[in-house]
Amino acid sequence: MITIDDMNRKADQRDRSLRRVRTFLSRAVVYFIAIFVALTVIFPLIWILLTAFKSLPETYIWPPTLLPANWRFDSFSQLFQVVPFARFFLNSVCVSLPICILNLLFCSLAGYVFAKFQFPGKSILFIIVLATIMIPFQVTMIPAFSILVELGWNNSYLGLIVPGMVGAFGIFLMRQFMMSIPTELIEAARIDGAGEFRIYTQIIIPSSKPAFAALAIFTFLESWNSFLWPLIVIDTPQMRTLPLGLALLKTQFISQWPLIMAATLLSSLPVILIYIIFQRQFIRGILLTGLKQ
Amino acid sequence: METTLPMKIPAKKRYSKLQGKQRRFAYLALIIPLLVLATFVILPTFLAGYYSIMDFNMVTPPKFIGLNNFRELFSDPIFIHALKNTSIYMVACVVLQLVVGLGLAMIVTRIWLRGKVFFRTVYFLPVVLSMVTVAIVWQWVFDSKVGLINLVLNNIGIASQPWLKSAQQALLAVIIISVWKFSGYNVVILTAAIQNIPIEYYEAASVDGSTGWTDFWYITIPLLRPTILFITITSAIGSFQVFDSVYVITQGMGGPNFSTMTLLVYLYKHAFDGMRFGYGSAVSVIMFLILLVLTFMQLRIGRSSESMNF
Amino acid sequence: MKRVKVFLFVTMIMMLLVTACGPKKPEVPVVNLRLGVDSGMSPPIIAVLQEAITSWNADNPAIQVVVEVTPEYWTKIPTAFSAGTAPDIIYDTITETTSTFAELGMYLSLDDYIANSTSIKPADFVQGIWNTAVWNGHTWVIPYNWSNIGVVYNKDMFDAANVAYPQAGWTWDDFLATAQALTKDTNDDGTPDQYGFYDDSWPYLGIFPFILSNGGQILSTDKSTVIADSPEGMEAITFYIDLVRNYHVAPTAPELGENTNPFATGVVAMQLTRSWAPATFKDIAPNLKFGVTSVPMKVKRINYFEGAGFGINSKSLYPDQTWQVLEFLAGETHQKKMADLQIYFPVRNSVLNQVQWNDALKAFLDEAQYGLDLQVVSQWETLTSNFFFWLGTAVGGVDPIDIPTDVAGIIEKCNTELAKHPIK
Repeated sequence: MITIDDMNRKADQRDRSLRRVRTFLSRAVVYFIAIFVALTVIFPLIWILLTAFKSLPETYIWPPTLLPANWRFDSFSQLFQVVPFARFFLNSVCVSLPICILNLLFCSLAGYVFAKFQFPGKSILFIIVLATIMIPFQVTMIPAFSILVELGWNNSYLGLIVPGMVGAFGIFLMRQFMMSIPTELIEAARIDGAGEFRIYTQIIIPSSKPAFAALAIFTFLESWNSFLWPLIVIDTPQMRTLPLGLALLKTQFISQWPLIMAATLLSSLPVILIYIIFQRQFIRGILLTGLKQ
Repeated sequence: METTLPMKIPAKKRYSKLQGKQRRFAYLALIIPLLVLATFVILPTFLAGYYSIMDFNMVTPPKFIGLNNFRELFSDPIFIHALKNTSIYMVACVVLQLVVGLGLAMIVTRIWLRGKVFFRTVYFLPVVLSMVTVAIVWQWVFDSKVGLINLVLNNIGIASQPWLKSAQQALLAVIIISVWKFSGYNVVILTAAIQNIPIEYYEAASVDGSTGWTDFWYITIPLLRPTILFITITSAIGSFQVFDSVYVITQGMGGPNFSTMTLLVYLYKHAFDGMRFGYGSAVSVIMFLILLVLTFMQLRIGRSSESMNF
Repeated sequence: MKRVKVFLFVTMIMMLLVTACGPKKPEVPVVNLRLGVDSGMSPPIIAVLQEAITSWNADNPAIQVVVEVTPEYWTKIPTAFSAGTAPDIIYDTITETTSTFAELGMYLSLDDYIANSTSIKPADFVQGIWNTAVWNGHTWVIPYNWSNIGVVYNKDMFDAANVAYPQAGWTWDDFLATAQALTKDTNDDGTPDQYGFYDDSWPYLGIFPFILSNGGQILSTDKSTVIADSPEGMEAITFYIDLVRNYHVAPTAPELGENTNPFATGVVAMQLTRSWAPATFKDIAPNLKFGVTSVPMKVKRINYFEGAGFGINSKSLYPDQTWQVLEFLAGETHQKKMADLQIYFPVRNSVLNQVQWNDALKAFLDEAQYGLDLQVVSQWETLTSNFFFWLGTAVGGVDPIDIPTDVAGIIEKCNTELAKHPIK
């Protein structure tokens, strides 16, 4: 005999299978979209990679071909002979790493203070900080360079690092993230007698790891790909950073496409590495929820 | 909880002592950032403003000419064109990059998704590549005869489009390229922000019968408001100042019939190629004012959510 | 508070380390000069220049020169000059920027040095290019090399179409007929698959050869106004644009697409180009069989020179020593080394006659005798870019234009600009 319980059980089962099908379908759609978008990225990258394996005349054929007719593997090694690629690479590292670290330190402190503190002049100062992003760099770079020359820092690593060691973008980013840290946590620690700096290191930093990761990635990327400022600041060829070095591969006559593509791939690697390392921080679970203590 | 502060200090004094400590810390933390920004950005900005009322070619001493630069600006049809193009570009990019970025961020934060690291890296890759490389690839993709897009269109029965070679479509093509290249930024930021949302919120909501869609609208989005505001402000500022993508793709010519001439390309051409740095500074002053107003408006709108008061 | 101090201290140490890690400033018992060069120059020329400087440094321990091959050279030099950090020796493309830089005071006048020099005598140099280094009565740079213009044609495409090779001295009509014979629509889809003509300076200076060969002039004799809109000039401009829009022997912008080398890739049969272009063919199209002929004429057979030179930074601390390096670069030895690369022509007559030029360069050289003085004005860059922008639309062949009105507008803009920079 079929009981009400049986009927309910059957209804439940039907509901569950329906839900399972719906979940499966929606997940399939999501995968489809994800893979489609991924392909729009991968396809150009494959083309770039393949170009690095072509010979120079092949890269000038019209209409352009996808696969190399003759695979050439020497563009990567040639790259190091045509320009001092290793030296440029090292220079870029010596500039981008300090900028990244200094930004993490100062932007997080400043962002924290703007997010969680009250003090006279806070609004004005924040607006001023924000306003610094609104002037195009091409305009400030000439007066800024004159100032740099006055300080004697032109043609030096210092001249590249110091102006970039703090950015309004980073301060803004940190501030937005840190606003969501529960203020009660901080107050509680203060009442416990913890010093301000201790609160910063022991509460704020651990709670903001995703923000730190994001800022690290962006700052490193921007400094790594920065072209105009190093162009103006650096005269000595040995001190060139990577983007300047790569620009040497394009002449008014022809561009050495296989070399340029090989260089692009190689110079992208550190940023991708930094990204993969830091994006682990975006994994849920390392965070303080603050609600349970 | 037992307080460890000595009880003999009256409450008011205790509070202001705490406040004093806080203020000291705040100012201390801001010294170096403000010093660096003041020296290398703010001071140059004032200098640029000063140059905007001068006739200055970078080499000989500047000559005062009052508002002539500005008068010339507004009577130059190419400047007006650039203003229009840049505004359209900015709105389109901010909206599209946010939508795409949010969509992809939601995808890569699904717990059940396999290959998270793969997808996250892939979506970020366009950001990493240099603009020169991106330009050469996409120019070929958009090529009016043999490009990939036209090939696909032909296959579904649509005629080949001139894309970057036509005044009507060039800007659209550049927008598409920018969305491709820069959405990855937003994916990173939003992923970080979404992961920051404590899972308890969702757990509590599902107890009440909430599903994916309502989760999204009533938990995720509200909690992402500060982040989304950050993205719209920085995207607007960044895309208003677009230079690399447009300059490299059109070789600085401003596209067919100036359809991809943007403000910063216009500025660059006059300031550096034409050696009229005063004129270029005037353009930057206009850009600055527009962005200032725009940012204020966005902050105002964002103020309705509690997290944006000063 | 203590931790703050520690942090600040650590930061300072890091910054000090960074300064220490940078290259050390060299001890200076000798005069150190910097030579700035555009990285866009041909790589073999840069290589030969660097070799030359290395041997100079070996022979002249008291004057050491560093070659700075600089990308985005034209952005960097004025910026560096305004901050006082420009190199001592400044490389320059003569027709385009020498007068601009000279007007701004970036160069030292070389008149006295030349008058007192034993190795640099103007009569020894190719007149056409030497004259372009003179502006406002003074000489500002010592020329280094030069090139001129001509038409290259694809022999295979001519053979396939059974068309006779162009003869030097040919006219506009010959040229048009040839181009039309070589424009073919092989698959009958309405658009040609190969074209007769393309101008690789497109749309930059392309109209100027046509204006000049029609007897027109670009600037008035006193260089105060642009007269490209004379009847001869307008006829030339119209003819040039008609090549795309009317006769359709040249591709429109959508038809060309992103192909930046239509001649080398076999899409067009003839190309108006510079004498250094054939040197690039061996790299990108090694099997190309081509010939060189003159610029088509209507009223007269013309040509003109473009070149590069070196000047002395007016803020250089060691102008006398810098001059010595300039003498070296314009000297016979180095000029011969550079000329042997068969890319650019040397500026010394004696060297010009010594080198066994390849066929292509010999043909270009033959045309040099018809060279006109391209009048040099300090606002050359601005003038040409006014035309530049409009020509892009004009030869793009897509959007509508009205030649007389548009040109009148451009010339008005040019004349306003010229009025601001009177020749004293």
